Amino acid sequence: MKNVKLMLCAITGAVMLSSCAMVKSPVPGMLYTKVNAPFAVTSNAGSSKSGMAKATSILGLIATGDASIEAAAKAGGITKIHHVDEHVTGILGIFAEYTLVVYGE
Amino acid sequence: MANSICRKTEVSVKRLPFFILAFLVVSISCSAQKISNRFSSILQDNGTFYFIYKQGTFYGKKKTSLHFDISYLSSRDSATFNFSYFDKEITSIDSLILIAATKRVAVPAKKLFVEPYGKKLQHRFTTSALFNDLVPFFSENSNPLIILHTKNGYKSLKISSGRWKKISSRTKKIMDLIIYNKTP
Repeated sequence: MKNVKLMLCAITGAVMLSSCAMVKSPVPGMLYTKVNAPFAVTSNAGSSKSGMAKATSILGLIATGDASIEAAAKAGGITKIHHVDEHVTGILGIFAEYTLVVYGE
Repeated sequence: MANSICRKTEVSVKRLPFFILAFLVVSISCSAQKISNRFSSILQDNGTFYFIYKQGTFYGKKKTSLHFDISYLSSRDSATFNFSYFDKEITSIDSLILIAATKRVAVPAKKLFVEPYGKKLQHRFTTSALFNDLVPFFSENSNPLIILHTKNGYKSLKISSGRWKKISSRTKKIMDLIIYNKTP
C-alpha cells in the first residue's frame, strides 16, 4: 500500500513538475539547466557595447520580465546590433530565468 | 531479512528527493563564486570584448537602489560602466563617484533613458572610466560607497560588507583574467 502511495506521489510530482517553470533551451535539463546559446547574428561589424534583459518564472505560475532585444539594446545604449546570445537557467521546474544579451555599437 | 531490505530501500527512496535537493543547493552555492557565469568574452578584430554582467545592488535612502554592469574592449583604455538607478522621483544625475577605502573614481554620467519600473522609475545611465582606475575599486574589501551627484545635491548608496566581499572578489578575478589576457 505504501509503495502504491509512493508511486502515486512520484507520478503526480513528475506530472506537476513537467509543466512547471520550464524555459526554452537547445538542450533540456530536467533537474538543472544552465545553457548559453546563440540567438541571432547580423552583418554589422564589431561590438563595443552590450546590454542585458531578463525574464523569470516561478513554479510556472508567475512569469515576469522584459527579455526583448529592444530592452537589452536599450539597456546597453546600442543602436547597431552585432549579435545576440541567450542564457537559460532552470532549477527543478521551480525557478526559470531567460536572459538575452545584445552586443553591438 | 527480506523485510528489513525492503524497509531500507523504502527509506532510501524516500530520502532521494532530499539528496537531490541537497546536491542542487550545494552545487549552486558552490558555484556562487564561479566567474564563468558572470561574464562573457568575444574575440574581435580589434581585441577581445568583455561584458561583466549585472552586479549586486547598492541601496540608498527612501528605498532607492542601483546596480551596474561593465563592458570593456581590450584594445581600449576605458571601460563602459553602465548603471540603473531606481527612484520614485525623476533624478537628474550629473556624475557618479565610486569610493572604496582610499580609492576614488569620479566620472560624468550620460543619460540613456528614464522609464517606469514597477512603482519606481529606472534611470539608465552610461559612464566611461579608465579600466585601470576601476580595478582598485574592486580590490578593496572594505565597504564601498557610490555617490550620485544630482542637480539638487547628492545621493549615496551602500552595500553590505558580506555581499561586497563576494562581488568584489569575483569581479577582481575577472579583471585579473582580462589583464592577464592583455599581456603578450
